[in-house]
Amino acid sequence: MNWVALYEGVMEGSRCRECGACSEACPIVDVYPSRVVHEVYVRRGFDPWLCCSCQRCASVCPVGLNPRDEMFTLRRSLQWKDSNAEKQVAVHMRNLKKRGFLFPVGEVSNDERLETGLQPIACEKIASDIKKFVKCFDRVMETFAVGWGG
Amino acid sequence: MTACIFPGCLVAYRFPEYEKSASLVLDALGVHQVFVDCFTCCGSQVAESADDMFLSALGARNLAIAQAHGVDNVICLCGSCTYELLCARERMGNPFNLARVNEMLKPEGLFYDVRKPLHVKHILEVLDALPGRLEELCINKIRIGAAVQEPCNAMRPVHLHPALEGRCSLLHGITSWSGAECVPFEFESRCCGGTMLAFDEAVGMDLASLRYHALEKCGAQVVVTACPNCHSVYYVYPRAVDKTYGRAGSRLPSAIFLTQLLGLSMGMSFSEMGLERHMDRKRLARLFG
Repeated sequence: MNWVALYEGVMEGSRCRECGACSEACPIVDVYPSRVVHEVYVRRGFDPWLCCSCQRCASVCPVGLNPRDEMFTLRRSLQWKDSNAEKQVAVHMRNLKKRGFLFPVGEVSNDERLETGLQPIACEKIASDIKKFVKCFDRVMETFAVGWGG
Repeated sequence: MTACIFPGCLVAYRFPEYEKSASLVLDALGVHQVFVDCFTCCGSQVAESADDMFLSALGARNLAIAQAHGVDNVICLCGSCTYELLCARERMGNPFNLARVNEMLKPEGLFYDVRKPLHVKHILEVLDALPGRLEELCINKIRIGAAVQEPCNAMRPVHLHPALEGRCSLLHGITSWSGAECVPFEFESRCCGGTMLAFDEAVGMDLASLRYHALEKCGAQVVVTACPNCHSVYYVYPRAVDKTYGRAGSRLPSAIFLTQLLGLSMGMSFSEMGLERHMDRKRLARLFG
């Protein structure tokens, strides 16, 4: 977990004026009227998985906050380990690291591409290269185990 | 300008007709393209929810692959891909991040060179920059009513799209060049909600259902999309939502990709645009004559 990012989020949240512009802009509020988006900065009990990542909250915030990014920081925090959404994400991540795609792009997809008049995707090469890349990624991140610089 | 299309996984998996029609439209506009067969997926919000380090490294790797093919413009078909690749490019502006990623890329013989200009744009931004040429090529004006669904991350967040600051719609204007009349659709700029379907299908379906009600009432004959996530909501999910909500076979306007509409307007054929694969192909054939 990136504690620095979480701490930065708390500090950033202190700038929030609680004006409600983010909630008004959020499409999720259409189906969850009680949801208050800026509460992501308060955190306790806030569900960060209810976000469609449209960036509308960030685009209307008068003080330049980005609640959407904060939700993603929260998703990556330990608090949400073993939630249903996190388990689903874990399955997708395994596919991504094994095949290079979240969806099962393969022979059938290439048949459809050929039918449509497109050249095939090099699925086997992608699968073999991504495994090598994942190994290198793990090795380098182990050596320099700090987050991305801004 | 040498460009390549970055299809992303949803287009590669489900919507090859979007890639094909986009490529033909770009060809007609004189955009020189090379085909890259080894891009991975962008990682999207799924990887961003789990491991943002891996996400950025993966994005930078895709950018390095583009550079290895001599490309200076990466054209994305999906809002999420545009966003994630732009974020990765931004992060590689930090020399420490860049050095680490290039160390990861070394065994594959790849190198991401930040000194070489590499633009990442959603196809809407590319088309929006060529209005005269596009309007000139759209010779068959298609007189239909169209609802449009703006892809969120093609324009937002603003700091990644400085050239588009102050613009609230791209798809609306480009759609009208085809001759289609854009009818008011309540959710046009309010997100399709498609990414929710990956994390919480029930919430995604609630969001979709609201959009379907509005679409049924808006009087459009087609709903124009420019992102595979939006297209999934209007093309793949209506039947599932009908089933869940016990609705009896709603008749929503047919979903069509912007590039398919533009291609038809440019005089390209129904089959060249991949529309013979469309579930509503009979209805669309009648509509487009």
